[in-house]
Amino acid sequence: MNRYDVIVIGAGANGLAAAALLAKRGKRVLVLERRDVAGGTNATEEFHPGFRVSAARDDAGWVPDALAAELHLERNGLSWAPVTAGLVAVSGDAPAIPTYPDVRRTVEELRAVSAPDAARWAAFAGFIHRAASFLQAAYSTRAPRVQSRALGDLLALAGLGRRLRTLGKREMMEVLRVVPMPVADLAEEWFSHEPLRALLAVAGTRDVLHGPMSGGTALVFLHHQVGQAMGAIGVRRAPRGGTGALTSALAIAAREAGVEVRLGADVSQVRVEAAQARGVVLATGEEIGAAQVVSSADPRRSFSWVDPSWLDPALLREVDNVRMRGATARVHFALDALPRFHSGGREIPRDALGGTLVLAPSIAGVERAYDAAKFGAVSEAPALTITIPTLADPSLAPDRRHVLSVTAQHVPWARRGGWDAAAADALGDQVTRMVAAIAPDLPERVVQRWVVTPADLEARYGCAEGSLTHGELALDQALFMRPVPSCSRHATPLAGFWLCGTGTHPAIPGGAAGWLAAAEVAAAR
Amino acid sequence: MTRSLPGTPFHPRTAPLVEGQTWRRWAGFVVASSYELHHDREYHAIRTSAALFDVSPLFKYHVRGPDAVRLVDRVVTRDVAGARVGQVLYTPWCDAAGKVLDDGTVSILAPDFLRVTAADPNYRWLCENARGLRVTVDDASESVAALALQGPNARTILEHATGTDLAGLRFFRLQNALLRGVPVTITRTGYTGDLGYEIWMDASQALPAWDALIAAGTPFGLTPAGILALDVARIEAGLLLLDVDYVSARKALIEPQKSSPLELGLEWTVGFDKPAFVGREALVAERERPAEWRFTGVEVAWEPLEALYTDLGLAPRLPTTAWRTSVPLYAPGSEHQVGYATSGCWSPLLKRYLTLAHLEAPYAEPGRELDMEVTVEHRRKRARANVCALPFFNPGRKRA
Amino acid sequence: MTAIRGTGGGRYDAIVIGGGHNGLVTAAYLARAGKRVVVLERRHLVGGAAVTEEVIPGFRFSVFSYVVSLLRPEIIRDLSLPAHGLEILPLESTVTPMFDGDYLAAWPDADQTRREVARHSLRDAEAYEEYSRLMGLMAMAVKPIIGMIPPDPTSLSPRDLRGLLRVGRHFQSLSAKHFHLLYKLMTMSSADFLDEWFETDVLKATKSASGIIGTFMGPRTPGSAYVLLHHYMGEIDGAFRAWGFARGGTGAISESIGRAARAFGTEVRLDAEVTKVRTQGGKATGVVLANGDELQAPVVVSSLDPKRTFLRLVDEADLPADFVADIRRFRIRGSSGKVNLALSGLPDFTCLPGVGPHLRGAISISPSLEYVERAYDDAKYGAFSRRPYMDIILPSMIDPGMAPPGKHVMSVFVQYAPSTITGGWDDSRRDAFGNAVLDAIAQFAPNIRDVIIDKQVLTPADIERITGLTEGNIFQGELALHQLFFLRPSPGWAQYRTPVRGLWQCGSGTHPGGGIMGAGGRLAALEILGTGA
Repeated sequence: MNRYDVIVIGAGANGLAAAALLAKRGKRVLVLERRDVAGGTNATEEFHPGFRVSAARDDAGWVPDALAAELHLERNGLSWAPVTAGLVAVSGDAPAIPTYPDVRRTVEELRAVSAPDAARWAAFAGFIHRAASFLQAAYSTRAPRVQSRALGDLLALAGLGRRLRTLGKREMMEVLRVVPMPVADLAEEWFSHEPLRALLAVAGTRDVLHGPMSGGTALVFLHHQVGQAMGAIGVRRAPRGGTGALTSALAIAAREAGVEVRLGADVSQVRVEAAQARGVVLATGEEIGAAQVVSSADPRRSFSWVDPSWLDPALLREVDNVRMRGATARVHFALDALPRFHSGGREIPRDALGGTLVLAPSIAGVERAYDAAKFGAVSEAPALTITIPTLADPSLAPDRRHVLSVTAQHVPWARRGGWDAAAADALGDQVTRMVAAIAPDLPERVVQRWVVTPADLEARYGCAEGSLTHGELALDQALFMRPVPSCSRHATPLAGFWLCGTGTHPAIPGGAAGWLAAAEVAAAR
Repeated sequence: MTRSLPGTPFHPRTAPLVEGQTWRRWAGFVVASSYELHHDREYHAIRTSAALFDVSPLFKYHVRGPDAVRLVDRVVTRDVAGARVGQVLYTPWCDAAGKVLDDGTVSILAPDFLRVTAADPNYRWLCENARGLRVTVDDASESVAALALQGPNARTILEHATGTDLAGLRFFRLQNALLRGVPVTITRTGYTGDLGYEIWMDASQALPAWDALIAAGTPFGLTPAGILALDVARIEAGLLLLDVDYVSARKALIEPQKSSPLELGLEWTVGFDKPAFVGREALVAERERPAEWRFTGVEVAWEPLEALYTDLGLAPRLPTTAWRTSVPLYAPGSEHQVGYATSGCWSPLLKRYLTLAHLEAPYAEPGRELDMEVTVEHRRKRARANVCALPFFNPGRKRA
Repeated sequence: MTAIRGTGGGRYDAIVIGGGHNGLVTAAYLARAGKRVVVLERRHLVGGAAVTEEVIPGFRFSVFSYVVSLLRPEIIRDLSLPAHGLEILPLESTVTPMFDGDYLAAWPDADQTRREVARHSLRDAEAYEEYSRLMGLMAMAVKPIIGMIPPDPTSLSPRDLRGLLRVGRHFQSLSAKHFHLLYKLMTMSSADFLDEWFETDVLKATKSASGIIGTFMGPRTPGSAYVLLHHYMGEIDGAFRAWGFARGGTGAISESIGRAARAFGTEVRLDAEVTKVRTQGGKATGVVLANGDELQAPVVVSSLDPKRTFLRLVDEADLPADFVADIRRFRIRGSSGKVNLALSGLPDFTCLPGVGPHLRGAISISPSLEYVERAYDDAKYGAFSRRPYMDIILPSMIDPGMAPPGKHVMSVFVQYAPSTITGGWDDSRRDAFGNAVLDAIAQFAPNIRDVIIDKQVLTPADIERITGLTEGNIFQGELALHQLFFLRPSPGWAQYRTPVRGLWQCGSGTHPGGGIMGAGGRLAALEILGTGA
């Protein structure tokens, strides 16, 4: 007899959410985490004495309300840092253009640069919010099955259809039209001021190896707006204590529900008998049995643990074909003091600094960064987004010290010549130089620099090709196509083996995939 | 640049023999339909002396490495892991849904070296299944030439040509030998249902091997034979043919075009005891259900067929070559179509009109009466037919 | 100003603006149904972008559009086009020269092609057969969609709901595997789609290049995979090959449709440029010609592109503001140019020296995926491709009547030549563009400059000037996912109607889009007749 009903592989947000929810439904659950810390790509870790950083991402994503409520995440320590601004366009030669969660405030700021754009912001924010709400509805249920004739599936589809209809005829058409569009077209249709367009271009190409001129990037933009309040375009969702605080709260909830979490437990194989998953084997050789094995790792890695003779070669071909293509690097700085930030010679206001500074001159500039990356090079000017998490959350650094994190895109995992220490250093230097254009005294303030290349993301977190989303978000890799059609509802063709990571529907960080997967696993048999 | 399709390694020898320039395609090569203007003599050589076929266009794959047996065992339905070096296995292989992709033979040449033959290209499929295995797959289709020596005198001829006693080489076993100095592998296999061998050699040695066999065989009536003769013999032997008697699951455009091994009368090839192979789960499930389709022999009854012609004042007209079209089969005296024949021929030896057919399982019992559609003097008629167990022709010498 | 009435004194039942293939198809179908129709063509010949002209004395060119693959067989049958002179000859092969002196060929025979691909990759040779089979199935799967009037998904009218149900049922009738494949084709980039199948770069390059023809996309741009299907559309009917060449050039196609239309009683007026669509009370009543003449009819059908129709011919005051905004933002960037060469002899390709069957097919200058993608990158930022993708054919090898005996014509379709070139097109940029094209050809056929007698270089600006196609876009609007089906050309106005009653659209700017397909022209006519024009 097994000691466990369910083994969950990986203690990231999705793994922990799935584990906690299954335990609450009476399952005996074991979570196995390869690293010595829980959190997965949410982990917030010390990178210099007293300085802590969320190394992989600084936006915790969308935590579904139902998930937060069921697991009492607030009671378990989750609270949100007061992020004062959204996306802020900065550059060496023009004043900053801040956007704020508050629509009226943003409109005021925009008036200074473009009256027509200012006039359209409120309508834009409203449209985006309604479109994202529609996506949110689709993300709150199992992936739709367009082809299914099962009553449940048809009703679910009809429900989404009704949801879409509430938008009204014109806007419904507009959502259908926008989703497959390039984000560049979306930006150009709404706005005329290039730096403002570039903000949207950067937001629409997050974690994908596509430029803003690629079709489907409007979906990427909308995707990251899921769960955001009206007007909060690209506003960072930062838990107090870093993104790791979300996974900490999930871990507490899990343990409370009776989940056992084992760290430093590296799975090397999923054990299969008679075409049914029966447990796992660890790198140490230890075997652990369970009726269900649920992997929060990316699909490629997950299936690599299964002896291929149990799997349809056609499925493995499909899994191989999932596009990962990590294109994001992170550079973190421990600072002994906050540098002075200027944009176009004018100091960037403090509350704007608390937002997400975007250093990208134009849509074409972002596109050129992608051009370089698609051929395996880092462009001369990757698009940078800069955050100073310590402004909203001083707990992350010693008193009056700061952490500055830069996300650089597009920085290809598939760099020609590969990644090594020299290449990482060169990237670090390049990012430092670029940030110094708006913060000239940055180099003097740096007490530690940590470059996390896509290769580092892969090595550290085990995500294939450094893809933080476990597979690029694109129309052909979303909903019922994610990660591959036969696994889009978390079950796989191998009985007893499930997927619950970001590589599955709904592809958004914050635990939603674990939440949906838990319902599927619990309903099985 | 030439766009023309190549001949086989035996082409310099076979080309001068083709009296009517009756060439046809086989797997991207040109081969002889028949050497003489009529294939009659070539057919009779198979059954009375010996015939020599150029079967080089078969696709051939060399699987090498410590996991060679594991790979092939995983792909095909037969139990390869349980077989020994020196064995040859006839086997189909399936997709994950248990539908047949292709069929061919597996020769176990060494513990870490197998040769797989196939009717269609299968390199990609073998490679895709080789994931995680220490194995290499090489396409040997062009580098290995092959001849089939078939007929009652086959053993005598081959013994003369090789100077080797082949009495110990049993049915579906293999042996290495020198054919007048040319190293060859001899397998006791064939596509005629007769005593016979297939001889495999490096393509560069094809011509001396051919010459050696012809020299040794001519005194024993050895006759080069083409595909037309082979086609009749294989129907008599009840051996099915890809693209004719079944559609590869890879090429099927709709589900009903696909067949499982069980539906093709190949249940005996399915190693249900093997823990895993591609399509196993589907086949296990299918075995639990009542069968829907069967593949079997159907013989057209002679007298009623003859009567259809004599009614019109004609003598019966028989197909002079095997046909490869689909012909409807009905429940007797009814409009209910219960199946279709996919190959058929007049057997000059048995003097019977033979067909291979797919039948709904309830109609597939041997002896069961059916109607087959025939066209007599431009009009569609029904001829009486009976279900027969396969093979139609099974001489003792085949296995002796 | 004189109001001209129809021949015989009566009014026309319908006026068709533009004598391109879609306009002529609409006219022919309307006339076949007994309507009195006049076609008004601005130029001195019919055809629009499908014309054959003797640009260089003795040498006849399919000046713009140069091959035919998609002309709907039902149009050929319904209008008896072969009886009116249509004869389509097969283009049998595609050869792609490579930088290393090798080449990749797709021959008309499956065995030949498998052997050829196997020279590059055995796996790909096998994958190619499976790919071709599946693409054939996919082409069959989209055929009903192409052939239907797009339902409005926001409408609750019984007719639209029925249409939606038909689409839904159709998708349900596909196997899951095929549905997902179709979905991938609709959403992926051609390079990504091909990456799932093949490992040979040049094979992917040449296939993906065919997926970008006429679009403002690169092989890596999502949405470009869909166009791959077009190659398989012709094959499924078995009636003609994937690509064909009309005897006498593509103008012969237009002429045969024109003759069919006339045979049904259509009047075709040449040198008759429409400058305005007359309306009264929100309803179209006729058109005004450049010479001041006016024609009247209760039905006016425009085969021009949406921008030209709605932003130039129709008074903006007659259109809803939303609709005008939609048409303004409709993407119609031109991306291709054309170079027509009169040759004294044949080009000699390094990879296949001398005369051979490769010269009877297409020659694709797409030696690698990166080559084609970089060509696109140039265009994104407003330059013509320094090393462009080209699709070359030698029509005189298929139809000797196109050139004097022993001499040849060469048609070079070139991408990318963006209409949005920085600084605009002028003579010096055209010259530079023409030189870039010849340089790129000379890399693979070094004798090209020695055999040129004369040349015609057409930029998107030239295409617009001559044919009237806005921005020189050969599809009358980019074929991107958000501009297809019920979104083409504008959400809510994809059923050939327009906000002006009595004014209809039938050009490539409507569903199902570009190519010499005629489907838009036919569907528009059926829609007009269905409502009792």
